[in-house]
Amino acid sequence: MSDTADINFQKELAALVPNLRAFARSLSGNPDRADDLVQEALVKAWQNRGTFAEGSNLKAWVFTILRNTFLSELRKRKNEVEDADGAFANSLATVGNQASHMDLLDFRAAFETLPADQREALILVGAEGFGYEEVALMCGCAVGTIKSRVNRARQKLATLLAHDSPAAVAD
Amino acid sequence: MPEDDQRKVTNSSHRKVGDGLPDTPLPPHVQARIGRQLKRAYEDIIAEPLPDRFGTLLDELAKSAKRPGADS
Repeated sequence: MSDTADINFQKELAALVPNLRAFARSLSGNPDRADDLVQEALVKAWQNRGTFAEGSNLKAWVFTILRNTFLSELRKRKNEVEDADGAFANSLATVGNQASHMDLLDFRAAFETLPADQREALILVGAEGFGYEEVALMCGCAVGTIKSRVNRARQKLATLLAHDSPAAVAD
Repeated sequence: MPEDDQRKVTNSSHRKVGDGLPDTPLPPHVQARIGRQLKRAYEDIIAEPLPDRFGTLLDELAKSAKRPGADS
């Protein structure tokens, strides 16, 4: 790879770091572990930059590397208890004092109760704006599976947040 | 008729909260509200100040690529 291509690749990776951190936090819940995940994904992306098909979606490519890293780590830690609880809630201290603060806190607590595969699908579709087909490719499963995960995640959030009750119509 | 109906009743009473009717779409205003909250929570994390470690890491990776043989 030429120096210019390397410099461009480095710049593009750097621009993705905030999104990678948010995605990693959605998966792991623990901010320190999430940042370690981002670091690992950046190293792997760099080492494999020769295999990246130029012109294709770099964000999707690096996100896929990150989620695969997360999954293989999860398999290694199978016997450990997930320590996602508390970590997401702790990070709320810095969120600020918007009027919607409690609302947001409730949302994050509810989000944390979702299984990892549903959190992932919901974030990729609902927050990152990837298409269902793209997410299916990234996760190596059928489009219908992604749609079902997103629907289940939304259903559960609606139930937990009582959004489907008549009193909760106003935002 | 009685047997079939009884089985249905039994099955539906075992359905878990949040696990049922996965393909029934939510009312649009509910889905929109969840979408807004999701984006807000996600964007709050994106807007957090970046630790130095990532810039440092990328610089080191780029430097190592320039050393012959250091990056295969």
